[in-house]
Amino acid sequence: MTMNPLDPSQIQLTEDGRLKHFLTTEGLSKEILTEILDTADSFIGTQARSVKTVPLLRGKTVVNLFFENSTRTRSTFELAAKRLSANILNLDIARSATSKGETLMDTLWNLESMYSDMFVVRHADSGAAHFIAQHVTPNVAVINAGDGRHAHPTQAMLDMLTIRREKGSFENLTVAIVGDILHSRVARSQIYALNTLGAKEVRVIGPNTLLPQEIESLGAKAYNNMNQGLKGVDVIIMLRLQKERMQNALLPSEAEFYRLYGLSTDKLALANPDAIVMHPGPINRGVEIESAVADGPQSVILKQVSNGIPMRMAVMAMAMGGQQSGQNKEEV
Amino acid sequence: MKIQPQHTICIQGGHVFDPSENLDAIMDVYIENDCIVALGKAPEGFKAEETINAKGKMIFPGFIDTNAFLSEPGFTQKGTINSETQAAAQSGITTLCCTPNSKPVLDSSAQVTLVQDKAKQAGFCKVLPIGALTAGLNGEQLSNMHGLKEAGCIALSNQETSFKDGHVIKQCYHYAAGFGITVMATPLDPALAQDGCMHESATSTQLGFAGIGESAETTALAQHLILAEETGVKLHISRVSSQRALDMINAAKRNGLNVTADVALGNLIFNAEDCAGYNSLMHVTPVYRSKQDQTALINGVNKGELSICSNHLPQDIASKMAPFAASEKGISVLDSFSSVIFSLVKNKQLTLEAAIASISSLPAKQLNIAAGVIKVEAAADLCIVDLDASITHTESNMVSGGKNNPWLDQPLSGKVTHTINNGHIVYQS
Repeated sequence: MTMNPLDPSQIQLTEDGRLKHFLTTEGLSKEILTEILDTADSFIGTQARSVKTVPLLRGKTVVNLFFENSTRTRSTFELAAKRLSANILNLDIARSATSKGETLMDTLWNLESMYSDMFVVRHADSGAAHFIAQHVTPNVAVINAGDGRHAHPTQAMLDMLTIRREKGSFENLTVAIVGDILHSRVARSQIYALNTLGAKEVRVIGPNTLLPQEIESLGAKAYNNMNQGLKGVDVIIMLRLQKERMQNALLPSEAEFYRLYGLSTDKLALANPDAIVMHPGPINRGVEIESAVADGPQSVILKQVSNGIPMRMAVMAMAMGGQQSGQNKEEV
Repeated sequence: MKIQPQHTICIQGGHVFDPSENLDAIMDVYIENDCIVALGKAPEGFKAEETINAKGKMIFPGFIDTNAFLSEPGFTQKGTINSETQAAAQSGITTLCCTPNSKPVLDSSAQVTLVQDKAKQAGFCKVLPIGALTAGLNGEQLSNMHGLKEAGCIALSNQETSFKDGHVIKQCYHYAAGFGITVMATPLDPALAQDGCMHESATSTQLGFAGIGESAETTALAQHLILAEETGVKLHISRVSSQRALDMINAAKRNGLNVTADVALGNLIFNAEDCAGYNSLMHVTPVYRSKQDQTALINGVNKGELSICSNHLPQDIASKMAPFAASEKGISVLDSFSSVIFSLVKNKQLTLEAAIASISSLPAKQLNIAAGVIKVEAAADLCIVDLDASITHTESNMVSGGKNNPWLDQPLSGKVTHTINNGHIVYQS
């Protein structure tokens, strides 16, 4: 007598298994994730040219629907859409309609009436992108740019792209994600992607108060002790620690957090010698990472930033392609 | 709907089943005015003005629901006393305890009387209001408890709102105990529950939600049990959600505490894993917990430890059209209430004896309600059920104003064909 749970992997795929929304890395096959990485790789080439635009989304309208403030992620989506030749509309909803009492559905219906083709959504509620994908009219693609603590799949995939370009493949990699796992949508998306792409082991490192309940069920080994957790690791992903975490009885102090979980040169030495250091940004120097490490030779943090645009171009192009294949079928 | 005055009814050939009276046989039931006047053999000179053929069907006591939100006053966009009690009658419910969290809150005898009048006017089932334990459900100031009891409240409760502190709970219980008022509580420590919207579990981690751990229920429950013991108040724990909480209640009973409890029907059917996919119909309070909790609660019903309430909470479409945590809580249960319970019987999860007792004689005993029994001279509150028939509720055939029913479009087994309330046929399929 259960209801039909909407399989998150099904809602983002067309009947013939192509991407039509990009909401989460959970449940997507290795083939799809690899196709995303390959497509992004192909766009990296176009980024070095003097003319950076490709005409894949010419005539399409992309709406950046940010219910939560974010300058960085929104800018990369905007740039990615422009480089695909799309028209882009930026809506800073955090400060407009919803504060006047308009519901999420009303906002959506209004935007649909303007014949948009794609929504890039960031929202503070987990499952918001999912909800929007369920309720938009067919042929409108939804890209999740971060929903609550649930998922941030484009960030996770640009991290995967960075790892693959640095390490070649995922097969023998041990990856540690360090810090505030509890509140991190990026960590959840990374754990699913890494497992699907065949990483040898995924670890999460943090104090119990920042590790969510039964995190191991997602496919990650939990460590409280960073020195143990970093042993034999090939990739270290540091997460940003929000300062307000000190207030809700989650952490004693920044100093103790840094001492236990800050990535210092000493701690980095415990990982494999060729380990790379990543961070989704923006970084808190001296809170979760030592400056010498952030700027050091093992850091690929700025490469992550450059990979952000081709990755977002890739998922936008693929989702639009999936929507169009569906549309063509209906017309036949 | 207007009730047709009926003076005598004979229900022929039905299988009368009431475990509390050891009734389990085919016999005729004779009703005169609002009373059952004979079982089996017609009283001398009885002339039936109306005869119901119940061959092949079961006759149960009219059901009792100990917790339903009727939406009125204040939320008529979600449902009305008329629509919601009609939905209840279609499920064979003849006595329903409505919650105090209307707008205005049921914290004055005037409001209580208004609800009773509207329910009487509708005529579908007897409505016994649960009054507010604190003024305006503010969790701080005692309500006019004695006045509320006199106005007809069956119990008093603070519903989902939290108390300012333990002192207020103690004072409420102390005051209520002096007047023999039953209090209902749904324990939840707000600090431990925080901004959680589902059970803390692998699923909450997967979906990215803050979870409400079992300890949010059990630590608060310990406080309520201890204060009930200290003050001597009659405490009814409304909507137990975890195995541990049920164990604690049973232990308190063994130690002599006068405490009773019920469980919401949804918590017998769903568990935290059903929240996967962000189905906003699974956003409820109390939250659906683990499979193990679900099984323990079903066992609790089978053992007669828990009665079953609907926890009916109708919502308009807009309230559920939002991302999970932002959607309004609750499900619309009354239309499907008894069919879902009969389906549990059919799946052999509940025995028929326990299922019927849990919605008739047990809640009657728990809350001291004079109903829920089939016997001569008792009120003629009955329902006739075809256990072999199946019923499917759809958005269009549902009666409740809230279409947030998680069983829509699913065939359920067991169909109420007649509901008789105080000797009046208030529903006939």
